[in-house]
Amino acid sequence: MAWTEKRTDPPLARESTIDGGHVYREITPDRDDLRIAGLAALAVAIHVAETVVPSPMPGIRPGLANIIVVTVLVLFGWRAAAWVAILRVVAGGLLVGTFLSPTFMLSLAGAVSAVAALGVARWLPGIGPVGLSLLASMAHMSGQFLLAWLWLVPHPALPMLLPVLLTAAVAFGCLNGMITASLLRRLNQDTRDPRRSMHE
Amino acid sequence: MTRVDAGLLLGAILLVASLYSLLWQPGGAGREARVSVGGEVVTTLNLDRDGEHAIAGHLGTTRLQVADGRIRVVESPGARQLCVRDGWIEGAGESTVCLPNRVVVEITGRPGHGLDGKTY
Repeated sequence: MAWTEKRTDPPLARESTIDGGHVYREITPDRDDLRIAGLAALAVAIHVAETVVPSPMPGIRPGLANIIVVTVLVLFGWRAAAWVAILRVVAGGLLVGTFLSPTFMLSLAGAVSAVAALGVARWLPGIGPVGLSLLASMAHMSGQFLLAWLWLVPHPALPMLLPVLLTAAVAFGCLNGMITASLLRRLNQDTRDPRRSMHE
Repeated sequence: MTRVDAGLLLGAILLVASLYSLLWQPGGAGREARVSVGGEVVTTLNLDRDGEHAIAGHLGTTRLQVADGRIRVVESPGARQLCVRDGWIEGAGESTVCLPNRVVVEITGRPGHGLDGKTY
């Protein structure tokens, strides 16, 4: 997964006139856009592939796509990671056919919580991929659970599920973090964009 | 895994463990049974304390048994023995009635959103 693009940095937008005299604004994607699109596509592919995996309980899934999100955070910064996470949910929802359904809303709530958690966690000195993935996973589960409880199933007994769900979140968060760490080790050092850091 | 990561993992495990013990306490609602005779409350029984209780009704004695957070009528005067046949009751809002003896046992607490009532 080497990431190589030409470093041209063309002007962001250019106006061009087409026969009828209409003026179109042509938007040229810059390096970050291409990078985010490619990585989001990767995350979407993982997300869709994962929907085939049977789950022991609604709300529990391995969340392998988050490996990409944490990797992007470390290599290209929080803004790119946030884009990848949100694009993954939206595009994944469109592909699987759950767009704007309760499943999608839960997924979105989880992703937003995870991105917010990563935004804070990246400032923790000495934190590595495992810690980032763990916190993101737990935030994802909590956000998703909170929405489910407040909106879908406002049953007083629902919190009894929370420990079980969080157990899965800790296990998968930790596992994904280890995969992320080994992925980051395997990636070339020059993959990292020197202009970007997760503290951006 | 950095040292900070290991600390976070430990914290997460402790958090989940404490959530288990916090949220999985037995019961929640309905830990007491109110016993009334002829419409007047005569006693309130704690369902966490096992034991047998004798209630004096209009015809005779109704004997109640509390065990494992549940309560049942063991013996009661009455031709049809409906309250005895009701067996154990444990959920908040559940009740059993020995009508001939005018004894009513109901478990207090706000009933869950699940069932409005039960009939046998």
